[in-house]
Amino acid sequence: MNRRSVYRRSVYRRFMDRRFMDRRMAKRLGCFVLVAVVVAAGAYAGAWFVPFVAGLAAGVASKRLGFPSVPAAALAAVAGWAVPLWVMALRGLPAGATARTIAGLAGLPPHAAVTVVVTLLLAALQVFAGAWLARALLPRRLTGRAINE
Amino acid sequence: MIRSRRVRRVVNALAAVVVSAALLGVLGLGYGTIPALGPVLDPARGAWTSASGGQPVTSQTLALPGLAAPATVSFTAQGLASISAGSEHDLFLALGYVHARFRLSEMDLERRLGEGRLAQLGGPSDLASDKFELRLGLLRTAQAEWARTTGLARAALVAYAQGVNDDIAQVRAAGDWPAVFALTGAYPAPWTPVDSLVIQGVLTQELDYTTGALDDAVLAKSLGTARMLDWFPLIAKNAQTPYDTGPYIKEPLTPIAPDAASSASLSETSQTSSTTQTSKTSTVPGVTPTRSADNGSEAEAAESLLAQLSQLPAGQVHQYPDSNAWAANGAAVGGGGAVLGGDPHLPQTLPSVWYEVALSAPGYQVSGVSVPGLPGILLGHNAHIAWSLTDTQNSATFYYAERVRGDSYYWRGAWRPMTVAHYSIPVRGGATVRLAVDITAHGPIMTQAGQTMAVDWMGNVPSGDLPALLAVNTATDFAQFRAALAGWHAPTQNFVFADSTGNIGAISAGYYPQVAAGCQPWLPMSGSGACDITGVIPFNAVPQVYDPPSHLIATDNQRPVTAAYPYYIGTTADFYDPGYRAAHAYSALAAGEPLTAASIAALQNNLTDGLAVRVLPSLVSALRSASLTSAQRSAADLLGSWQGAMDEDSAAASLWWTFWGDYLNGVFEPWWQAGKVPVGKDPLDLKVGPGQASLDEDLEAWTLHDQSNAAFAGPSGHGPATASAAMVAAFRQAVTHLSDVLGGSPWSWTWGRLHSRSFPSVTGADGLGYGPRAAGGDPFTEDAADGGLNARTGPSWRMVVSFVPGAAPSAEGVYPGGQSENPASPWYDNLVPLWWDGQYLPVPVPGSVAGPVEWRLHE
Repeated sequence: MNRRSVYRRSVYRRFMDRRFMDRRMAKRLGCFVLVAVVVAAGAYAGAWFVPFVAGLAAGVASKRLGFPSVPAAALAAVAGWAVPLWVMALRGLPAGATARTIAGLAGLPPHAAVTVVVTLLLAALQVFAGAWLARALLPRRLTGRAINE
Repeated sequence: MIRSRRVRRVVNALAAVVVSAALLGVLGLGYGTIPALGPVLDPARGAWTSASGGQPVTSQTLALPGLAAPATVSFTAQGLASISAGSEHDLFLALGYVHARFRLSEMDLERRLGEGRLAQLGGPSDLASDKFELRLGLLRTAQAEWARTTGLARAALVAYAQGVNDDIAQVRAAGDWPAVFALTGAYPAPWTPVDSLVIQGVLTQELDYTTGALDDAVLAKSLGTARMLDWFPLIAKNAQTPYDTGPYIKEPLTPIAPDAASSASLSETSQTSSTTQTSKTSTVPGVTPTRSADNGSEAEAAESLLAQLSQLPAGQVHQYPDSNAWAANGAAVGGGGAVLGGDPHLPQTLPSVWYEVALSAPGYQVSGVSVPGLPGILLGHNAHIAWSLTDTQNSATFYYAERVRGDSYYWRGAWRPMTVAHYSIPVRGGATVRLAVDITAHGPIMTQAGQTMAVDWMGNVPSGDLPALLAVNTATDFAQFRAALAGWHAPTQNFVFADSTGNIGAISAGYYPQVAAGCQPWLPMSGSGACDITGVIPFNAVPQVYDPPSHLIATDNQRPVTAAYPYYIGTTADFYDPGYRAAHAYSALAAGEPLTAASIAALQNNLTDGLAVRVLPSLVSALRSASLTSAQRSAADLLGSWQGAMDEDSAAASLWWTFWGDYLNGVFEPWWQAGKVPVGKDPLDLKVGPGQASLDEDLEAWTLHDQSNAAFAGPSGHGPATASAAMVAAFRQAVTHLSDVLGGSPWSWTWGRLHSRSFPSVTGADGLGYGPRAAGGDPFTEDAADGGLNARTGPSWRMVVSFVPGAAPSAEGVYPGGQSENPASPWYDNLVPLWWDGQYLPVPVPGSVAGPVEWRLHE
């Protein structure tokens, strides 16, 4: 095997690795967007608990597939709940002043950031709780073989 | 090992289940006073949707069920509204809709306050308020009023309620509730006419319910009856300027309306008494009693009730006498005609108690300020007349010590069953609380600590305020104006009047209850029947004046009549203003050039302390001959050239105010300590300070005319022998105080470093109010600032109306706040800077298009 063929094989492997990586990333990104969209849609529908459901799914996925999917799901849920706030601001509604009002009425420091952070934290908290529940209730090792059995 | 792992897994699973369930439970259902945070903070629903109410208002077409014909609402750039409709029904419906659109939270809070339902919104901390209101009986009175309301007032209330409910239905359909509802999950119930009458009752309570008799009972016990009577007398010791100087007429008393609180219909009554009306219909002529008697054994009950009242939110009991209303005509006015200035001083909140609007329908053209929750204009003008109000301050709250045995009380020689009203008070985050209110012939029992004490309060007499107000709105001359007010019972108000033909007048309409000679209405009285209210002052004999020769009328909450007035109207402890603003107003109105709208406005913004003007010469004289340090001398020099203006940048103003407080304390505090006055039971009304009008008047009078009064020597007899000595001591103390607090040299002690104004949010939420901001003024200036060094009470609305012969009336006004209650709205506090700078805006003209933004309303 000459040096050139070794080089070609190395380049090919790297190319294939990148494709594999890209596909994996694309899949993960797709999941991220999907979760964010579902969470946002749930918010519009009044289903405030959708992040918890997303957390359950993320918990199952992390246990079954070994994906480090829980933090990503939390981020996606935060993004999903941020969408309506962003849309509100885009529509010219006084989102910041409203956030300040809510904080003041709730007895919190009357700053817009307080309400925004608390709101988004609620989404993340639900995901973590859901994921914990899923991981705690699922069998310890849930492999493909175990499922087939 | 395996077993231990299993245990860990089980524990982990259990913990996950418990935590998840708890989280979802709290988020979905809430816990205690914590709201259900899931739906509340859902970013596309919940409290966030209140953002839509904060948008700038735009032109739109709106469907309002119940409208008979199209109507329009237009807005100025500042949010001032003008409503035009084809009938009075549609006008009041549209007004109800507009009020609710901009003030739904405020209206709901006010009715909750009056109906004892605040705890449902705010939790256990509001329970004391709910219990007090249900005992006092605003709801019972409103229900009785509604049962007796007829004609235009009834139709107006029904149409108004429909308008409010149209807004509630729209908000419910859209889901964009004001944030306070979304946060608490307590959404507003449909509006009813009784709710409007409850709000009328809340205003009456804030202006008319007093604790003077309770304070007097406590002070009589502590200081001794003779000293209490001397220091809190019927007639003030200082010089006063009543607007009605007589001659007075004396006529037989008018029977009180036969439906006082005790006989009001009780929707939740378990037991009724048939004896409760008798005492209210007596026509025994009243005799002005002399003030001399013992304090009785009611002090303990008085202390208990005062302690209860001190737990209530600020403003629920009448406290500060700070309003102005003036009228001038004839030679006093530039160009002839008449001019009227009015600035009612109330707790200053965001949103304000006022909503500015012009109303137009065939036969009904009026503009000014309305009260969200009520139809009509309370202060304003039409094409023919203008009017404004100040509180009369008369004694309208009488307390009775009842003899009680089980469920009965002793009255007029027999044991009689008490009426009992039962209430359930829902509490957010807690169990529902049951409350039973016992009611005697005198009124509801407010406390049973030490002594069973009932209150007979004129605000509990069903009052035709709304019919009177609607008739005032359309009056064209003083005769109609005066006739309309004959049905006004409470709160007693000085209605000041001017008209387009150049006439001015004033009448202090309302109930002035009288008792038999020998009774002492300034203290809790016996409930045996001997001291029942025997009637009220006839309408013809209440304080009033029409086109006085001086061409001037000034009602600034001072006692409206002289000592020659033949009826009892209260003591100096009834919050009559000490008279400094009235005296200053009469002096300023009479001096200089003929009056114009601009000079009236300037007077409304005037910061001269009338007490300082009176006392300053004596103080400066005393300091001149006193031995002072260099710092004290330079401070004294500041006062030497000062004219009494409580300007924000005046160091002399700081010196004066601190001195006056120290002077009062130096003279009276030793007596308070020796008598062990239980100040903590009611600090606002028992603590020695400038807020005690009687003490201000006493000390002023002694300083000017009785320099060696025995009070100066104190209970030990070893205090300063004279007023001059006491003043010098107080001045030295004031300089020390200011040096400690502000440091530096005296010229740097500007008033704005000590004194500020705040406009807190009605919700009590920090950060949603305005201020504190350094400000001038004090309780004795025309531009009054009351409630302490961070003032929260003052001019809640400034208005000037000019009638020039041959021209339409010209009106301008401003209030500190904004038309919208939504803190995110550009109309939340946009009027505050104008008010602060003493500027005014034209009051919208009825029937005109106020501005470019217009709502078209149709069914």
